[in-house]
Amino acid sequence: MNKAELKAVTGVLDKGMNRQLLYYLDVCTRCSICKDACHQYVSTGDVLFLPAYRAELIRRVYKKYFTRSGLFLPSLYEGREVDDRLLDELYRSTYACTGCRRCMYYCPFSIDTTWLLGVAKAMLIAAGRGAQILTELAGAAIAKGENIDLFKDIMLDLNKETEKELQSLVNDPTAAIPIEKEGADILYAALAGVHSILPPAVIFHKAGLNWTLSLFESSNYGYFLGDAEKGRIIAKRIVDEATRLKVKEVVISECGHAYRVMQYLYETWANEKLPFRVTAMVEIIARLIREGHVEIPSGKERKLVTYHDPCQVGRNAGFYDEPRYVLSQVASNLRELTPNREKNWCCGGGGGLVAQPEFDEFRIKTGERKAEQIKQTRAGLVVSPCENCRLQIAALNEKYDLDIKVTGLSDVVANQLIGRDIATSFEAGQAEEPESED
Amino acid sequence: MAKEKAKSKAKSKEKTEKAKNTGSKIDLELDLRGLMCPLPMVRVSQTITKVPVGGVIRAVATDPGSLADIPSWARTTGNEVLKTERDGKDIIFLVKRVK
Repeated sequence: MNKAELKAVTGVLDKGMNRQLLYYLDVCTRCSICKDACHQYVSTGDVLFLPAYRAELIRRVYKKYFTRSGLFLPSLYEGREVDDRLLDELYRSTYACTGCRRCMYYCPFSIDTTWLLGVAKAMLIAAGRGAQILTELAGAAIAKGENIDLFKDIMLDLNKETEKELQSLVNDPTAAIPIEKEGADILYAALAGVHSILPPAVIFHKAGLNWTLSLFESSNYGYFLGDAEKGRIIAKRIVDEATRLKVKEVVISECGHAYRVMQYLYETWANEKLPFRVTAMVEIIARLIREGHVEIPSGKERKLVTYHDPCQVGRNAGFYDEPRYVLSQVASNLRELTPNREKNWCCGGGGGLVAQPEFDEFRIKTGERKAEQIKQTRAGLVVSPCENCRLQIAALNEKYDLDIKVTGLSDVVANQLIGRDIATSFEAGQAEEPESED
Repeated sequence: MAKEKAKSKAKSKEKTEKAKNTGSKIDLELDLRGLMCPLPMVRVSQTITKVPVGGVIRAVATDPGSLADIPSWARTTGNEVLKTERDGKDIIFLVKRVK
């Protein structure tokens, strides 16, 4: 590593040196309570994935370059030079973390390891070692935003097909999935794919909402990469669209990190106040049912159902009661995972891990706690309002022979509204032609 | 056995015909059907280095998100999407490795 590279890496640490960082680096007593809280350490026993050690890597760099004792007697004071070995360790320990914050929940000092790893990611990016695939995914999302006119026609064509599916599902040839509708009350930011558009469209249609579908997917790989500027640009595509259409509310699909980005991070990143309310999909479904905008037909599902709290929806956003209330309206036999809510185990797929093939084997191995939890419930259907969790649990299903189906919260509600088995998948090309009104 | 050979020959001929449409030889076939965003793009990114510079991958996806994702990825990574076409549920990309 040359001097300029070293300066760039330590410069990031210097720039990020605030009270929070110093507190976290200073206060850890190495009690190791976090070792039993982290699903990755529990599954692998590898110190690299121990939350306290993850922070320790940053602490040692801090000691080496920002304290006199570490500068002159690094071996005695645990200062560590930034070299290829350290960066390799830092990369693996940092980009493997799912950001679930279970360690923070158990830490007596509430040390936020995920926040510290945000600093580590910035250091890695400065060293030219940001995760390549996340860099490419973030770059592609930005390019899509910059060249939206190139893709708009294709998207509008696809939307016409999805709209026909909706009309068939709700048996109403006037049902619509509006795009770029100025003056709509709600802008819904979905994920790529019909599966995250159709269930909310069914619910919004049944509730008679004045809504419009975003041209942009809600997921944000700039956030996973740890590049706040890229994260801001990606989220800004939706912010600009919502502002242009003058909507009052932006509803984020069942995607844990996307809600977190828009609700809690964007205003800090962009230094601007959002001119609309941000709502999670789990929140709006609960609201629509509570306020009587959608009426759930009687005849609840009796099959055994379990609910997985996504870390970004539960621990990191506080939605525990809303999804359970919604599920109680459609299913009569909910068996909780043990533990659950704020103590729930991470599925192992968050933090962008499902998109990083280099961690494929690792995430399946470290998902074993989740697999055990699910197995213990004996439920045949797992509901979870996060795409990353669903992809991971589906992978765990194959690996650990769980014999389950995995679905979203809006899927079970939409199915109940249209009189189908709540476990039915929403895929393109399934629906029949709608009955004509005349 | 002979039947299988004939089938494989016909398939290969079909591929050659399709490649002729863009004037490109297909170096690698990639079946991305059933994969959801962002995995089609991730797999193309992983696989592109397996063909030589100038080589072409024919990728077949079903995720509609890939229609914008793969061309956007190509733009940012300096590669080229030669052709995109839809065949029923299938979305077919011819992706050329440029560097």
